[in-house]
Amino acid sequence: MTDLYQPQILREYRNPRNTGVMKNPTHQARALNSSCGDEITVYLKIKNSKLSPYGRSSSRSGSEDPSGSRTTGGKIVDIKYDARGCALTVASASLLSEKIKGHKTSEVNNLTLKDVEKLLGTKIAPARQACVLLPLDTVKKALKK
Amino acid sequence: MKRKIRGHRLVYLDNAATTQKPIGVLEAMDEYYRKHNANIHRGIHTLSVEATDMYESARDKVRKFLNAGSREEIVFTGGATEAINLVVWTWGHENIHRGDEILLTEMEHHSNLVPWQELARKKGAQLKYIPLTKSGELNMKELPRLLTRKTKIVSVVHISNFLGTVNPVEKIVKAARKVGALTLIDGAQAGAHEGIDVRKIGCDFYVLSGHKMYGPTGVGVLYGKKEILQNMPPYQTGGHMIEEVDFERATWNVLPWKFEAGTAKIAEVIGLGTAVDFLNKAGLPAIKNYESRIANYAFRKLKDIPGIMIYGPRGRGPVIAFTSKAVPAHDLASLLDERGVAVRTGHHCTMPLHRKLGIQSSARASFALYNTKADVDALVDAVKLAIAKFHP
Repeated sequence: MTDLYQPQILREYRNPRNTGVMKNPTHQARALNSSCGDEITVYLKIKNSKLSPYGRSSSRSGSEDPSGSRTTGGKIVDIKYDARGCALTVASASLLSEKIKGHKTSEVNNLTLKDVEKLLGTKIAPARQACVLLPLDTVKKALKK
Repeated sequence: MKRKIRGHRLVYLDNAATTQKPIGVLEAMDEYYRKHNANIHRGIHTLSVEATDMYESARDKVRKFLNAGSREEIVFTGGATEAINLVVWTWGHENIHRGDEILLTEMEHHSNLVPWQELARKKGAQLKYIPLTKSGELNMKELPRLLTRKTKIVSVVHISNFLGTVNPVEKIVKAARKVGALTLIDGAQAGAHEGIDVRKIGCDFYVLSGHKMYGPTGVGVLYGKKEILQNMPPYQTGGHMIEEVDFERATWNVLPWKFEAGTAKIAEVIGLGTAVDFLNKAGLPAIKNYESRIANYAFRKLKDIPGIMIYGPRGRGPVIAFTSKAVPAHDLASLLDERGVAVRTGHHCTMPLHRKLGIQSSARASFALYNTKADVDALVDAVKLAIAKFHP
């Protein structure tokens, strides 16, 4: 089995980027991993977004979008998050925040576990997939408003 | 138990979640299916008579194990959670009204918290909690103030699945009785570790979890005082729990079968009966003595590791929950698993208590009679390695 705790993951965990609370975010969401108690709040600043009443869900990472509106178009100009959890959650949040800053919301909605694994540089065992997906799922949740 | 995990010897320290099963328990269930498989209480054919006998003799074993007064007071359920829900949605539904109070503790497992919460919400009753001291014991000084004439039931965990605290259940029952409140003791963590005497405790209800005491999953026990069970409405209705049915209405079977609707958990109950034999053979005083030596050893060794914080009092059941300053609990459990050491991580179904302590999650090592000092050493070594990995 490959070692989960690659140096780049531990580095990211010790010095996570883009942490903190954002004043006046355009979008935000909080989520809890109820199996372990990990908690994250994500704040986004999105420019030129529009709200479509019922977006086609392209999420393949577990966050389904059964109804309601979602944000389409626009660009993520800033992201902050407040994460309390394990090293994998924090490292995933940090790397994801770097990756999506400056990118279109549509690109973010298409990200999956595979992309997160690519960011982390390692395959994630099923027992820990919920941890590394929590930040991405929370960003997608924020985009649903 | 001889399995290798990632090339290491399996060190199973998640016994508070579920214990491993003695071969005798597996064989008893296997034998039922192979030789005596039949539905119980129905047929007059040989197999049915044998199966009924095996099932009902497990009831006698459990009665003796709990020192209950009569076999009618022992109801088999799907688990400890179902046993609590049975009380909540029958007795509670009939007897808890607007303005009544339900007294719990801050260390309850969600299974003895959420059902009462739901009942209170539906009925407009109020939940109160016995607070904890700094060391993680119940603050008994607060008890007289919390018990009022409005208190209808006091529902308390016998041994905390997180802090390991062994609660003074006899004292609590005595105090509850003075205000006329009933008592339920959640013994899910006590069954495998503590000699239980429901008549000495004096409680009105006591619940057990089969799979946490060397039995199979899918079976639990509700002990209830006969006169109280008799006045309770049935929990589920259907086959076997009836006396007479016509197209308009039905009357109920006698105790304990009034609460055992449908085909029983026959193999599971037989397995549980054998688990009780296993516990009796080892002897609970000897088990308790041995496990507390292991737990004390673990407590001392873990405490010596820099940055490790242990929760709960010094004198405790065989459960040690801890956090590390260096390694988040979830990562700690992953790294321990890489060394073959199985511990539980998370909030252990005590979310409100974790919030109160200001922690997201913790790691928990819990011991059973097959654990050894060598298991503790493996745990301690793996914790040290995990810390070194995070802070090289």
